[in-house]
Amino acid sequence: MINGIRRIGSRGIDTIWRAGAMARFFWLVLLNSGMSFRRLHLTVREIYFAGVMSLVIIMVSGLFVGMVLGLQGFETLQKYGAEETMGVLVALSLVRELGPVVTALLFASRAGSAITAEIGLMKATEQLKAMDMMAIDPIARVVAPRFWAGVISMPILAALFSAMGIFGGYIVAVAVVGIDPGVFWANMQSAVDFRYDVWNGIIKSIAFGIAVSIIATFEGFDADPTAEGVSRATTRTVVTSALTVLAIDLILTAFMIRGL
Amino acid sequence: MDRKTIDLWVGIFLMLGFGALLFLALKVGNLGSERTGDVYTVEARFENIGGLKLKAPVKSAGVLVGRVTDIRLDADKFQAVATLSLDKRFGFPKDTGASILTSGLLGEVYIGLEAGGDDKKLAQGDRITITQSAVVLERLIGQFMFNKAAEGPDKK
Amino acid sequence: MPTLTTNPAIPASRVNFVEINNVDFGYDKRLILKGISMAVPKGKLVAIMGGSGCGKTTLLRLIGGQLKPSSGTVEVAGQLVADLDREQLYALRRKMSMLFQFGALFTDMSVFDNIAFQLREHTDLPEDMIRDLVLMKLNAVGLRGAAKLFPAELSGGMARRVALARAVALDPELIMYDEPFAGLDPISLSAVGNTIRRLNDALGATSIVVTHDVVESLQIVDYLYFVADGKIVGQGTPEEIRASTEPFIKQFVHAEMDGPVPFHYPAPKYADDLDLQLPAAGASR
Repeated sequence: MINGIRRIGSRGIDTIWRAGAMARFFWLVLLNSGMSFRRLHLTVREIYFAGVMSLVIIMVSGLFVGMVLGLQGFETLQKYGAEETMGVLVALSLVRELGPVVTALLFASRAGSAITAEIGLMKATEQLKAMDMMAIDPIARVVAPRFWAGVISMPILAALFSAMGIFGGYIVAVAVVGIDPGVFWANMQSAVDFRYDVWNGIIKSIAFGIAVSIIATFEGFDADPTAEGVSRATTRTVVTSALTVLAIDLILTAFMIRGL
Repeated sequence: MDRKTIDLWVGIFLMLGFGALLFLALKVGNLGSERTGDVYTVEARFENIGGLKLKAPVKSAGVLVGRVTDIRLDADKFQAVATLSLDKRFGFPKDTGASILTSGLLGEVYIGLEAGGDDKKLAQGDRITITQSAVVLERLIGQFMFNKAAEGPDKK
Repeated sequence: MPTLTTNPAIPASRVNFVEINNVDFGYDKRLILKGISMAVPKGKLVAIMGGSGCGKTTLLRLIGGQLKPSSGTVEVAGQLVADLDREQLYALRRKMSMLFQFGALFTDMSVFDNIAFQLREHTDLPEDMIRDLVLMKLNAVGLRGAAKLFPAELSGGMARRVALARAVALDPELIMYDEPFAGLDPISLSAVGNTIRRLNDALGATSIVVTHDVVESLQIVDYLYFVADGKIVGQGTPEEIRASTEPFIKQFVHAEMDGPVPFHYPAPKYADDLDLQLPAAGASR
């Protein structure tokens, strides 16, 4: 009993400690971001590894999710004779919610874990220490470009996910269900607002990009310098990212709806 | 991986992303067709606006001609004042009537305009005087029940 | 033969590139280094020897400013390392370089880019000049032909030599080697050893080698320090060391299993641990 309480206590302290350490790390990354933009090719290279390499999984997932939304939506909308508003359902679900959130989850497991593993391995093999001894700050040279690459890639990937999803919904609506394409687009356009729906989705995905990137780089930088430590850090990146993304989503959604 | 290949791919990536954002903004979010320069605003007062929301469509003969851009309460007369932005291409007579309608039983609430016969046209800042408030379903049902109840004893 | 007698007319810091005075260092309360003092004269190749886990690597970290001593001072090129702020420390580190135990080559770069790394980060040299410099460094370690390979494709000895070439890429004034001989076959070992000596003399640099390979060290270095249990237990030139009768040094140099450094970790009596009843004790019953 006492032991159980003690374990909860130590877990709690540990969690708070990590949150503090991560906030401090975030600040350090921001302070040392100059190089990421002065020498843009460092960041471009990381955009390639984080963004371009995630392109296929994001686009294919987006297409599938959009098609599933179309089919499921059809089932329900049909009961109310409103299957012509399928475009609205697909587009609103994607741009407001699923696009940013699912992209962030996929990004965390595809690129986030890779970033953690890479930085963790560099730490385990003393590459970061070597860099520090060469008078080159590893946070500026290794961490910041990866962080910014994640922040830049996320909204782009989310937009691609939503676009592909809407295209998937369009295929289902027009080719399978037989809705007139004109009606599909017209209904969608009259219901989707750029400022409230599309723009808020973009804001969400930028917030997720910051969260996932800082978690991934922090876990790598903070990993125990052993093979086991790196693998544990990688798992932690995926779990922490998923929870953080969903929590931020809840908070942002609440604010965005009140603002409406 | 050499730098030129990476640059090329990242360039493609950024262009794809930009294309997707453009698609979401124009084709899905319908940003392009609502330019603020091409509209004029008029006011309409209602006793009750029911479920009318900001951004609700304004239709004439079923065709979208504008949107509701502002809703406020006139504290003196306790009337709702809705500001409508109408497309400059459509000029409506001064005696045009506005009514709050619902598309279908559960559909969205919109404002329907019915053109009158006046020669003069509505201009920026004018007020639509002939208005018809929203039909509030609860009140309608309440009235119906009340009438039924009033009829009730007679039948016996 | 190098001598360590200092000329009193010259300030000590001019002669000794690195000076460690009475340094204690420990994590929490457990001291890893206790009252260490040593000096590394400019231009010399000095070895710090000792068994595994005796704090040799910690000593290098103190010199490099990655750690701060609990007490005492570490002076490099006349500057107190612990008192430097980040910028000054980085400025000092440009004058030194460290060869890490397992090379610590950047795994995502080719051999060429590894060596060009510091040149590109710290200088504005044109790319063709960087190319020439890198090939010169690679040639010095005999690996010019391996420029396009990646670290994963190198053998242990080759990786060590690449790391060596990288360590001297900016012609540092102080080079620190952390276990440069660990895990090398005899041929690679003597190749690395010779390269360390040659680089030291060719660059006019000061070098510190942390190692437990006594045979190789005795052949290449100018002076040796022996560290055991966080303290310096012996020092001298290779000749003095070879002739030494000091028990610890004797045990270390001649690789004897038991001596002042016991083979057994402190433990209760073997017999007690196994719960053996000795015949004598049994007979009395």
